[in-house]
Amino acid sequence: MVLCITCATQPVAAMVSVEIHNGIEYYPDAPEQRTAGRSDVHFDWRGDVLNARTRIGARAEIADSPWGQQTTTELREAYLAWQIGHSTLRLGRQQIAWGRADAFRLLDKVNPLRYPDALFVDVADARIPLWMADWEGQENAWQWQVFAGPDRHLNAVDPRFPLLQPVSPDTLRTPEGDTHHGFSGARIGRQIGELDIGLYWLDGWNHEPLWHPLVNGGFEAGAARRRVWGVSADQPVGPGVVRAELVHNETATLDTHFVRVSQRMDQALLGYDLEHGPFFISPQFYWEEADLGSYTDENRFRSYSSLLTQYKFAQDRGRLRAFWWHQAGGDENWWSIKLSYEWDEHLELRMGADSFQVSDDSALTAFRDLSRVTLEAVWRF
Amino acid sequence: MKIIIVCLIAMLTTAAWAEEGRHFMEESEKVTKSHTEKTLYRLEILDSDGKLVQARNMEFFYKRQVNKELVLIKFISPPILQGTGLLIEDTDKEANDIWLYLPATRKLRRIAGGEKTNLFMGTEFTHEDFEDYKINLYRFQFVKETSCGAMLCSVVAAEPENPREREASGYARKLYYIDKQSQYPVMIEYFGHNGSLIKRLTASGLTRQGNYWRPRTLEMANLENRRVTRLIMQSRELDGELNDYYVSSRYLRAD
Repeated sequence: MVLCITCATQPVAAMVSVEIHNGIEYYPDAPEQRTAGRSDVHFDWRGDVLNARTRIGARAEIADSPWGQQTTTELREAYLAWQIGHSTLRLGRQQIAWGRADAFRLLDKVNPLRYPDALFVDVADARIPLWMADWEGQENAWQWQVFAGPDRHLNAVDPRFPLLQPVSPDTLRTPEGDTHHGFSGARIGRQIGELDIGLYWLDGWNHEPLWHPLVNGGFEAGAARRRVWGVSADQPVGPGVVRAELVHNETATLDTHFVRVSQRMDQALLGYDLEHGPFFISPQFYWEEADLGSYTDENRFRSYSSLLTQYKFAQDRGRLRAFWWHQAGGDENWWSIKLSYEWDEHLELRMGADSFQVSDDSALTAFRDLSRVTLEAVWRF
Repeated sequence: MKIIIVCLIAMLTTAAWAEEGRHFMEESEKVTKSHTEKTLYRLEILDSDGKLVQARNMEFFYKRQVNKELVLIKFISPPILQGTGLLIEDTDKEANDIWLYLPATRKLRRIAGGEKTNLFMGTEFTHEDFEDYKINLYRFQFVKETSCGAMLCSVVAAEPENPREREASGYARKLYYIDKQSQYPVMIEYFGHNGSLIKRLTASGLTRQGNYWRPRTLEMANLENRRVTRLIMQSRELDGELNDYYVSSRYLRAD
């Protein structure tokens, strides 16, 4: 294998970009102090180091909510990328975006997410990057990717929102010796005529704990591993593109001192993206069927479906994005409207509103008080 | 008898003009298409008063491969668009395969190449405007010779012959003004389905670079909303070595 640097990369001058967000949030359902604020700074450096394209990103945030305050500093991405023939090898802290759909994201499972940001902000900012080696390439109509890393990380829950029930990774029951298993995954894709199809496999830590039933009643959070098999496909049909994702998940706890909890979930997504001039509409139908194992004796089998419709409109400097999520056969709804306006090449003004209408035992219960209105200014340099 | 002769002459003349029109386009394509191209453009969007609304810098990569042509466009400024890009794969089908990359999601999303009338990233260019002549899908007819500025041009009319192309295209007719010296289309007029002239592309500052003629500026004027998008070449390399990486989804996703 020849490490071909000069033939594949052009040296780039070091480039620094800074993004500053300042926002005011209003939570109408909060018990008191309904107004909150948030300021964060994103820093990105890109350049050539060791003949590799290199990126280092960091974020600092000061934020409050009606329920609490938080100051965060975080190393986001830090990696080196080399071109090797028809492939790219990337080493370091990074994120991988799998799948085709951009609203429901069934295959976007490699990196854990930060909640509730994953609902509200650009998903690239809500993914938690992981240390890993990623090697991907393409040859004719084939595309492939393999990656592996040592990290174990749960979805992060912003402690400003205690109603989301955060679980610290340190409190999880994980047997000795099993903590050193990392994660690995692979993807292979090919275009066959108009059809673009991909197969996915992932083996790693589950980003959510499973709950062990205890003998004296109650539950204890336990670390779990999962295996995921998935298929994604898209094909232009008429004036739009049909997207489909099928995912099979198997998740199990590790601690043999307790009753082993194993779960299985099958998920499917079918959507159609229609874009015409400045208008974009994308209905997506989601279905899942789960066997929750000994997670609970009641309602062991769960079947669930919903419809999410996304609308976008862009004209000149203004953009509108709206979506409506509706539980099939239920009365749960989530409305989201976001407006943005590019004041100039550095300043973007954003306004948004999210409304959750949820019932007590629903998938969205944790977000029931998160209906909110936001005003935000984003500076980019 | 006279009528039959007139009709016969008209038919023969029309056939000859059609033959000549296609010949012009084939020659133009042959001499203007490079094997690779690497260009840095400044893109300017002007409103109906001619005021600059936004300026962008973008990389343009082109590579001709066996049975397909690849174009990759990536914005490098302003900061709000940095990293956004498109990969267009033209395999001579009616609809190109197009992938869009948005840094906000880090996802490569396929978009409908069949929707040719969609505007390209808020400019006055549609996806269709980046296509080549699509010689096998159009009927060409030589119209006349005329002066275009200091140049002498052959005017060739193009109408979609293929039914799917006719349905997908945003234009009923295009008029190509081919400079006789360079064979480069220095002006293209686009006519809507109601027959009216809706857009005009003008190439200016034509200079020879190696084996090819290329303009310094391309200006697309939308005659309906009076907005203009201008592409100004900053640097260009033709037929240089261009690794496949630069026309691949991997480069599109490399932030």
